[in-house]
Amino acid sequence: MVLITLVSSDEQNFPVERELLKQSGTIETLIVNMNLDDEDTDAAAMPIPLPNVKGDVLEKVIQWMEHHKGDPVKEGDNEDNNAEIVVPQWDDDFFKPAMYGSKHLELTVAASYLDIKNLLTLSCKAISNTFKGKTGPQIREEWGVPNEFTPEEEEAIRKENEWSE
Amino acid sequence: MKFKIFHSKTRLDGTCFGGAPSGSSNNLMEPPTKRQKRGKSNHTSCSICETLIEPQFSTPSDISDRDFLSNLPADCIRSIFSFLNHNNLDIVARVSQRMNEFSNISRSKVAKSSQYRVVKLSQDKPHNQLTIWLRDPSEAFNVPIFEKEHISESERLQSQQNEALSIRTVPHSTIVRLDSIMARFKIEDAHFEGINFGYSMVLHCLKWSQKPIKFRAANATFEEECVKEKFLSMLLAIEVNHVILRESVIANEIDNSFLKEFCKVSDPSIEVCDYADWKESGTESDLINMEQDTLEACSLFTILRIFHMRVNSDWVMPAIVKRFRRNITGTWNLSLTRELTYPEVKAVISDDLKYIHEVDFSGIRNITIMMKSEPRPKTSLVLFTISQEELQEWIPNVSSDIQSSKTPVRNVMSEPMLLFPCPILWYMNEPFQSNLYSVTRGINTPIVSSRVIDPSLV
Repeated sequence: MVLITLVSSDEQNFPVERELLKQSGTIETLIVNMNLDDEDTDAAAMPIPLPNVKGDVLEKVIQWMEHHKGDPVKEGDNEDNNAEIVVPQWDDDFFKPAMYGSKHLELTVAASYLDIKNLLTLSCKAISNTFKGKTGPQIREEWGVPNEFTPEEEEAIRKENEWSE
Repeated sequence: MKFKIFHSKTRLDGTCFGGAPSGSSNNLMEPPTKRQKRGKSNHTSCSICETLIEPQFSTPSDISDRDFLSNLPADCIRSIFSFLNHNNLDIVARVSQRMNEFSNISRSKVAKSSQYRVVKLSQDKPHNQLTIWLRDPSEAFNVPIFEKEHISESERLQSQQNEALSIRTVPHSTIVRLDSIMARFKIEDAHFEGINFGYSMVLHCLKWSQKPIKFRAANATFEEECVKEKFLSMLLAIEVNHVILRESVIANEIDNSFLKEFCKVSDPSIEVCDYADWKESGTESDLINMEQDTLEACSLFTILRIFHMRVNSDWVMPAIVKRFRRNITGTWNLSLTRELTYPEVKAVISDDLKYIHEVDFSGIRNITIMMKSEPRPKTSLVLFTISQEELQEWIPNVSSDIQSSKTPVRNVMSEPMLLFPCPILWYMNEPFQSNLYSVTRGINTPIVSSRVIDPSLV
């Protein structure tokens, strides 16, 4: 089993099975560019630095990739079927503890940076699910978003969308 | 956690309105963004866009370090919002300025409702009241009023004192409201009546995610002379198929270069004022001469009603034959340089019009090509007289059962209409009356009016 070492922004090393990394478009590109798949290359001696991902986030990403090992990798940005996407129970449980906080959002940003399409899709879907059935102030409260609007602006936005009420 | 984020000056939907393109951030945490696919618009970056789009919020967003949600990179927010429908987006639009901005951008990707197909923005001059109407696909009834915006008393007094102020430019709130309608409904027909177009209005039309097929403007005025040019560029950029400009001060701006550009859309149609309107305000010297290559390009037009342009009679018949052979049907109303004569018309079209009957082309100055099922123009006078025998003679294959049903062809074809000051030729690829059409369905027989009106009737 070939292991490739990922290095997080806080200098933590994560040896990861080569097969798992096929889920990440960004890492896959780096592996190809660094010729890490060549038999002559000592992959273990060439860690891949990921300066934009912290260790605890990278650990969660790897945990997710391990669970989804062998899943078909989503290609392209086909958003036509977004309405049909359902977050599986395992992923829901995986995301839930960190929901409404920075950790889940950091995981989402990492998924985007590492180009792990399935993780990004499910993570974004899970976030979007938290908005449904809520009001603007409720979402603000849950996510810790300060109210930037003046009362006049709030009224203008409400009027713009009044047919939804 | 603090993600540095890119803030466009206006919108982040990829269309240029002055902001830097999405993805220009040099922040490493910001994932590389893909260049937005351009819409049909050919609009490019310009400083005017930057200055004219009004800022949406009074206080610029200063996102707190603790506001993790609003600190998300643009791609992530777009991805999250791609799972929301219009109603959900209405809710998140009220969360923060950044969420509001992205909710507007994301609407273009949300499936649009077919509940309404026509939007009309009209200004009631006496009350200086703006109203947005939405119409359902059947257009039979139920025209809901969506917005009424009254002028203030001080503005009213001012407008009474100064006629020039009697029509005010569409306010930003109404423009935003229209944007919102275009983002959520499959609007095919955008109709403006008595509207004073300003730069901002025209620029917003360019941004509509839903491009209407038909764009109508009646009694339109323009804030400044140069807005006219922007308005015409907008019509070309959004690739609207059918333009109707009635009693509009922009009618005379529809010239050769515009028509040549406009004919690049599929099935183009353009109607620039009625004859009566043009006659009221125009004179012979106001006519714009249509160039030959423009006329050739115009052979693609379905409906062409441009009385303000004069066509060389020597060129018009080849153009008609060209469109006839392409099986393009629709009404043409043109002004000609001289009367056409029967021999020259017959020489050109007789091979194509196999069933041409006795037609007197003397005195022809206007040519109308009528389309099946199109309502007869009330301002037209033509005597169509066709007997059952004539019909049978023209269309030998008419079936006996239809003959025996005694379709009242005479009644439907003999009404006197029209009121052109000179005789016109009605020319069809297919009969337009429904009952006559039922007789000839499938035969595809061209029928030409069998009689020309007596000029003394006019």
